[in-house]
Amino acid sequence: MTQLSPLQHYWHTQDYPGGVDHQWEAGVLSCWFRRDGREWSIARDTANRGPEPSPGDAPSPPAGMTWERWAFSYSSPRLEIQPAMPDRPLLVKTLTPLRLPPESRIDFYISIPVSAAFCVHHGDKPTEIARYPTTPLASTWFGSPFGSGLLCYAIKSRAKLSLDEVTDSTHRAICPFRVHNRDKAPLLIESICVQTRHLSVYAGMKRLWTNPVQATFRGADHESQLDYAHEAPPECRQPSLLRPAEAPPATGFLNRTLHFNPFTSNHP
Amino acid sequence: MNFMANVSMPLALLPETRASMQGYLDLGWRVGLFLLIALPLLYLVSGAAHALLRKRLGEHRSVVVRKLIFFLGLTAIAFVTLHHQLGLNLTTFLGAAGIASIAIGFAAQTSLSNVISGVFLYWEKPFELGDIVRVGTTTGVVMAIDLMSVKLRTFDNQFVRLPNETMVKAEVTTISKFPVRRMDLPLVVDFDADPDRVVKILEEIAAENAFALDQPKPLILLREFSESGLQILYGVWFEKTQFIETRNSLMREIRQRFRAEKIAFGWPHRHLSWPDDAFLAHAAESAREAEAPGGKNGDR
Repeated sequence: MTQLSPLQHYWHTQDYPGGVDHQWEAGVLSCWFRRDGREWSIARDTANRGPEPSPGDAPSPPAGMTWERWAFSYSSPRLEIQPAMPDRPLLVKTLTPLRLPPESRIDFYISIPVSAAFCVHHGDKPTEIARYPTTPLASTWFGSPFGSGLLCYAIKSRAKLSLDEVTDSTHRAICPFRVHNRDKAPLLIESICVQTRHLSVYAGMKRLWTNPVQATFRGADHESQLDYAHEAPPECRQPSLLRPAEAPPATGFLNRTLHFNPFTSNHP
Repeated sequence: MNFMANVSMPLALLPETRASMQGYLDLGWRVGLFLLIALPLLYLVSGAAHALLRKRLGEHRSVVVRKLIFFLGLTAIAFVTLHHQLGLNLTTFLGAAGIASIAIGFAAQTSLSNVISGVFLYWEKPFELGDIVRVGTTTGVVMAIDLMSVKLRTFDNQFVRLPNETMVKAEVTTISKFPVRRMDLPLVVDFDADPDRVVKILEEIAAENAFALDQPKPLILLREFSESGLQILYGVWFEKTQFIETRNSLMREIRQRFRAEKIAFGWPHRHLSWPDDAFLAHAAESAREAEAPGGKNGDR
């Protein structure tokens, strides 16, 4: 029997027999789901984990959880659990504010806690029935509170400069974020706003990855150029695509140049 | 003339009467058919204009465009029906209307003012459909912005109609204008509480609260010493749609933490000083002397 890798243990597609409760856990998230004929039910328990089942006992969900029920016109035992990006942009701080000299580049590695998306398979098109964050994220505002800004999630872990500083995790995806300062003045980087809707999730040997992002800063009075790659980063060995981006990055020069500066609060 | 001739005579008039009646019937059918086609078409056109322009102009302006198209269309249909279908000469009618309009104008000053105020509201756009506004003591959600008035629905489901003139003249607070807001909670802690410790606890509460935004950072202001204690202004930023959740969770968490950290809320203090017995005896003696005949108050 082929042993599953740690990532495959969490993120997989498999058939589930009906009438049985199944449990899935990652981070602080504990989910329960079951299939009854054409109906799927799913619930999550972030605060109180159910008691550890004794060996040989079937797991049972704790009482008092709120179940979501989905009724399909077909009976499909196949469920896929995918790592998905959070549904808002993310704001991540650097360890300490740093200045990037003119015409210099720097690479950041941002560890993004993923959400678990449960998708019922039938034919070619999976139907997502639930999406829960594996780590609760705090809300924050990127920009001026008087109008122009973005409602984001704040990531507590900082953007790292080296991959060795990033801890392996089965429910966090590493986003390589390259910054190129093409301005004549140094660029002060205190925090970075990452648009998650353009990020796909790939599985490597031990980690989850997203497609890399390159941000080219041309000065405070000019638009920053954000380029989202269409494949996994070179650091990801033997990549396999687990979940495509919600909004695939556009191609073409005019589409790539966004009215968005990920380093300051000047979002229009 | 015989009986049959007397009976048949009115019937002899029928062909002419019949012709005019037939004419009226034909006219009725024509007008009815015209209205049957024109009115639904007008609804469709104005509705389509609203749906198409909603994304470009926003809900508020697209509704105004829809109403304008409908009103103008209705006027055109009325004109065509009266003039072309029924053959009425509108020239004299318009002449009389011109004279009447002067009289009506004086009588309709308020209505005209509301209409003009409506135009100002339309261009200035201080609020939109769905916004929460406060006008005086009335707070509600904007249901409609019409030619003459603005309609609000209060949170206890009452319908309030505010003339546009009132909206232009009064102070209108658009509570939901910006995507994030600050919730200001005035707190009073006991004089004995350590201000630095209280500030630290409040910062922790905001950091751990699920609805409080990380940025902008919460405002914690030590305002003044009052008769009850140290007054603090605790301002936490939140997403505008989460007012109730943010307030309730913060109030619960503040009470819980203050109790756990043994920080007392301030309350009005009064210190009473009770004089000693010697003083009371002297005061009583002085009062008796003052009341006795020949004393200070005794001659009265």
